Amino acid sequence: MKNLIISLVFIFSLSACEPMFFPPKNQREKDAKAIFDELWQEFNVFYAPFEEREINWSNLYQQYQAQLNENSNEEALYSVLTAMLAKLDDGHVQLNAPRREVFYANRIYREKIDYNLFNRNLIQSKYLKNQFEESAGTEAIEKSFKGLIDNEIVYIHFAKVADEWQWIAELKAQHPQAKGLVLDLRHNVGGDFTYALAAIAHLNTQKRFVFKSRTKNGPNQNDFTDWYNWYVESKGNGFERPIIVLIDRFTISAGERAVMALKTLPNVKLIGVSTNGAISTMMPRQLSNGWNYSIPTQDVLDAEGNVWEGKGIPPQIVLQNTLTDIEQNKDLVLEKAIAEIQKN
Amino acid sequence: MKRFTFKTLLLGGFCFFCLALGNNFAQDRPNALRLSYGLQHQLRQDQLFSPLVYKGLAIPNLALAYQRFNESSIHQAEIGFSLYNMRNGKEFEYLDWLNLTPKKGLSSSFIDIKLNYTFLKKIFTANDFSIYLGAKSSNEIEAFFYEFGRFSTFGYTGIFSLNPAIQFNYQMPNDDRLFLALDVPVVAWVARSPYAVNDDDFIERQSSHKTLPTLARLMADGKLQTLNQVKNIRLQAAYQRFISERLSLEALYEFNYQYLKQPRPSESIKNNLFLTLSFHF
Repeated sequence: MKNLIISLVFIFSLSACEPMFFPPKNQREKDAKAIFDELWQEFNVFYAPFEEREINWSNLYQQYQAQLNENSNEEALYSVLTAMLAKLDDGHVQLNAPRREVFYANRIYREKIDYNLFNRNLIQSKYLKNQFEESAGTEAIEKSFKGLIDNEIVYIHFAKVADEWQWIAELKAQHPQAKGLVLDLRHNVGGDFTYALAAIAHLNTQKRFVFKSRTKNGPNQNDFTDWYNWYVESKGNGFERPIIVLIDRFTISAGERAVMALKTLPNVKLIGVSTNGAISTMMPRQLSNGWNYSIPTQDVLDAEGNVWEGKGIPPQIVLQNTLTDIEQNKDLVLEKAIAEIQKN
Repeated sequence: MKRFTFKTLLLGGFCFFCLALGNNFAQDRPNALRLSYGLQHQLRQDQLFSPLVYKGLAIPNLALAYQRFNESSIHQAEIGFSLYNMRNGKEFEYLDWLNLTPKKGLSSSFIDIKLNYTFLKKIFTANDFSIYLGAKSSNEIEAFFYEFGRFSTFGYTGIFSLNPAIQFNYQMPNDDRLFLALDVPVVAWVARSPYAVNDDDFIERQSSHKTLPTLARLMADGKLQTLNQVKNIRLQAAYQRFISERLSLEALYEFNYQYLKQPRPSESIKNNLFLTLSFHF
């Protein structure tokens, strides 16, 4: 009992260190105006693609800061912050406040525009005839799956960019006679693009420059690292038959980097609609009031020097399902991919 | 096979313990194997990731050490591991983006791995009081798995330094010992997450997706820093009591203050209370 009391006293005494070393900042976490300044300043320091998105950040400060005062409540603060962030229309900018839905600055994500024009159940049942293998995961939307279409076309839906991208090498080895490969990156939520670069090496016959990026490394507007060139290596004898990559407005982040890398291969064709256009790597952070948010910190150029941030990577063949197509059990985008492979 | 191994180990351990408690009155046992478990508490504010102060305990923790303690010098090699469960004080609940289901933010996990070697030489003695002076090679890697509600992010710190170290010993009449030790780095090799946490160099260095090569590459990408940029003060006070000829128990309090200036400031305070069982031979 005595030891227990000593232990409790010890633990209690530890908490006494906090105000001594980390003094509270004048109730800052409760001051809406201070929180607004903090978020604005962090974006001012870290956000990279202001120019690409044609944003005058200082003007937004003037416009929105005036809407708050020291007495503004949490609701008012949330409303002003989200209104300001919405101006960025950036899929990588999110605000995660307690008891609220995750806020996406990007309108397409926020309003889930055309989200239901991709239907994984339809693909699995109709085109893969329920013969498919799924990756592990708790959320259905983050599960990738793979199978064969008509026993001659390899189909993979990558829901994210992660270690399941090794499926490309495995399926290529398992089906050497396949007529083509469909990489379905619609609704790809991103991840770590280095998995994609390693996997694409198995489709590639020579080392290729695929994109370059630079990252904020200081508080001034022009504080960036040097440009960093990214390459896809070559492993094995490549893949000479057609590769169709399917994309949509929910192909985002590392999913878009994968598209940038894939489109450098001569036998790749992109079908669908432009990707989201949130290509820069993002950094999660916290505000002093405990709210969470994310900031994109990079500029990215594709192999040809194009900027797709804020625009999205365009397809060569523009095509999108309608709700009627989905209701009629048709994925016309996938059917177009199959037709493109069959005509070779 | 597994059960047999476990039973053998248990029996072996019991025999070892009986032997240790037995009447073996060897006078000179300068070597010791030390096993420590402790109550460890950390406060950390790392501006690279968050302005908030994170705090928590490390329930899974363990340290092993070999010590050679004789009249003129002390050698100690030590390896330790701690896993902290950290929070910023508020439970965070939010609604998922797609289907608006309520979700709870996870607590963050910080991992500490340390590998230290200390050599101290006796420079002063008076009656039962002695002072040792020397150096400590302090090598500490900290990995941070921050959970910010809907977001997760990884960070790291590596501090590798050769520290001037001093230890004050008091030999009590009943063979018990008291000691106080202090070490502070003058120059340190410091590796930390980059300014914007995920830059291209960082992404490239972890692209093998293998823990050890990634760790080696991240730690190699450090900078030599001096006292105005890195402070890592460690103070220890301990009371050691022999419970038999070969076994001793030690209560050790350790205070560690760490300050890192670049690329953004970070401060941490660790208060640890270890119980150490030593086998002397």
